[in-house]
Formats: sequence, C-alpha cells, structure tokens
Amino acid sequence: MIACLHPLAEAVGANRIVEGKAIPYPLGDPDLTLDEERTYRRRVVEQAVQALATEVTSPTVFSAEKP
Amino acid sequence: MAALKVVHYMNQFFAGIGGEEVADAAPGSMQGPVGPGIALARALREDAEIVGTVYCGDNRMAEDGGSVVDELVKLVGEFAPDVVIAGPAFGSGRYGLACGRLCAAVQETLRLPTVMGVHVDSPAIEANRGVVRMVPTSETAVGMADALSALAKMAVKLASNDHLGSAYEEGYIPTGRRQNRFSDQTAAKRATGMLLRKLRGEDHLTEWPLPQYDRVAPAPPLADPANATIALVTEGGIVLKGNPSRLESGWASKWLMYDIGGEGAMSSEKYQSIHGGFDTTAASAEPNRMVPLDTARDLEHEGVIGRLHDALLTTTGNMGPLSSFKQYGEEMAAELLRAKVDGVVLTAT
Repeated sequence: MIACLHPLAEAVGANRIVEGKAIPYPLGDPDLTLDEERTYRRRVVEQAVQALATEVTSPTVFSAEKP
Repeated sequence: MAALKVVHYMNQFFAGIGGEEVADAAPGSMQGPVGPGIALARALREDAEIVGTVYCGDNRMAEDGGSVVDELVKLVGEFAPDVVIAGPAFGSGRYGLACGRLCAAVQETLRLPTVMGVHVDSPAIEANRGVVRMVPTSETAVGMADALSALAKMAVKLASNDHLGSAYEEGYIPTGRRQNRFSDQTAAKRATGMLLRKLRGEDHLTEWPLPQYDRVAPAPPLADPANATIALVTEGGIVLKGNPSRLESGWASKWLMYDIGGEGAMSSEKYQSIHGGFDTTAASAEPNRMVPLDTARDLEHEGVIGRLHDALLTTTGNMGPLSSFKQYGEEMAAELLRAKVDGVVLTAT
C-alpha cells in the first residue's frame, strides 16, 4: 500500500506500507520536472515491489527517498 | 402487576431431547420450564413466569428454508407470551444463529421483545447486531448461571418497557446504534474531566469508542518478483474521463475495473480523478501520480516484475461506512485471486 498517511495505514492494519509524497499526488510532485517526477515515482514503485518481497510480521513502513 | 409471561427457546440438547444424533429434531414445545429453564425461572423470580419451552434441532434450523422458523413462531404464539428468551447459545455457531433467526422472526411476526445470550466470538453476533438484543455469555456452559441472570434481567426490562440505557450501562452487546442524550457539561469539560480521571488512574469511559479494525495476517513475501503478476489498485477516484460509470466522489457505492493491458502510461486524455477528499487538479493533469502505470510498465519491460495485470481496480475511498469498504475490498481481493495475481500495489490518498 502506497500511502501518505502512513500512521493511519498502520492503524487499520495494512501490512506493507510505502510512504507516498502527498495526498493529492502520492506518486508525483507537480513542483518537479516531469522527468524528475518519473524518477521519483520509479523509486517508490521499486520500493513497493521490494516490500512485497520482504517478510513482515506486522504493519511495517518502508520509506522511499523523497525528492 | 401480574407476572410477565416468558417463552424460552432452546436447542434439542438443552431441551433434553438428545445430542448431536437428534440435531435434526423437528420443532416442538412443552409446558413450563425445562432444563436450564428451571434455573432461568428462579432468576426471573416473581417478575416473570416461564409459560412454555419451544425447541428445535440445530441442524433442522440451519437447513431451514423458512418453514421451520414459521412453525416455531406459531408454537411461541400459542403461549401468548410477553417476551421470548433464547439460549444461552454460548459459543455454539449453529445454536447462536438459530436463536437469532427465531428472535428476529418473533419480533417481526408477533411484535414481541426478545433477548438471546451468546458468546462475543459467535457468528450470531454480526448476523444479529442491531436486530436482536443480545447479552454476552461465556464461551461454554460453565457460565450458565451468569448468562441466565443476565437474560432474566434484560427480558424483564424489555417486557416492562423500562428505559434501556447504553450497552455499557446495561451490559448488552453494543447494537451499533448511537443514542443521543443531553449533558449539562460541554464536551471540553467532559474531555478534561476524563483526562484527569485517566491521569489519576480512575475509571474513564470513552464517549467515542474507536472502531475495531481487523488484523490481517501478512501474506508471505513474493519469492521472485521477476516471475510475479502485479496488479495496480487505487482508492484515489481514478475514472475514465467524464466518469461514464458515475463513480461517486465520496460514499462510493461500487468499485470499477478498467482494462489497461495495452497502455504504457495513464493518459490525462483518458483518465481523471473524481475523488471528493482532495484537490484533484494534479492527479487529473498527470494520472500516473495516482496510478503509477508508466513506471510499473518500465519495470515489467525490464523484467523487474514478471507481468503487470491487465486490469486496474479503482474506487473512491473517502467517507462512507467501513462495512461498505470492507465489502469492496473483499470483492476486489476475490477478483484478483481469481485472476491469479501474486501481488498488489495499492495507492491510497
């Protein structure tokens, strides 16, 4: 789950949580150039795939580096 | 005041008909109290009298298409009671569900109050919440005496039309409905008072219990993402431009599925967000900010993930009752399992 409100995601029991950028654009940032945005988005999606391949026992937040 | 008349419903076992071998026993009735009913009659004291006992086999009730419960309601009606007590069923699934069906049918047909006793983990709880008044019991019959006393107290209260306080005050299972009442103190004063009581280690009862969320056991990790099918799901209100399926911007009544199989990215020509919980300008201008199809497609081409699932599942996740979203989640999960998806990347706002 890619979520900006990750404490909420943890509270409701999502087990693999990746931090998104902001509520209106979890996977982007209108202040960046489209290329920079895409690079950021790719990092988050890669982090999400990595989270899916990681063993967890309870709600866990994975941080993708913010732009 | 004349004693209230009570009919007591039990399954074949507690009514003394027999055990599992007669779980298909047909509906029947007897005069006066039977088995645990004798102790129930004592718990009712002089307030009420058990005029009859009605019983049925648990399997007979579980397999009933409607005629069995109709027959039971008729048997109950013959005693012309003021209130019906069912169980206690404790943690027994079939028995609890049977008590709930009988109580609901008695309320509906005979317009009589009913109360049943059941353990909090019984499936009967969610099946009857808000419909049938339930009092909590132990999981097994070891708590029979307490259960009978709680049932007796509640039955007399319901049959006498006494004011019923909150679930906490009265000890029944919460109905899921709120009762409004006036307080002589503002919310700020009540909250401060509650905080001070908490700090002093005294009783402090919340006025607003937090919802209880399910704890889901984490799925095992993907052994090899390069061989996995990954699906994209969102609650960010992403729809086809113009929203032809009329997905709501809040209080969603449905979820949608779009074929993204042939698409390399989410195009703003084709998609927009209609979510009512935030400013959708950025998501509609570049929908990949909500559904990362462009980069997920790159990862598919590079072999980082095996395959991107052809369908995008989408809804609007704001407002609305938890029960609806739970249902959509279950339906989405069933669809993804059917399509043999291995992992899901869900964007939430």
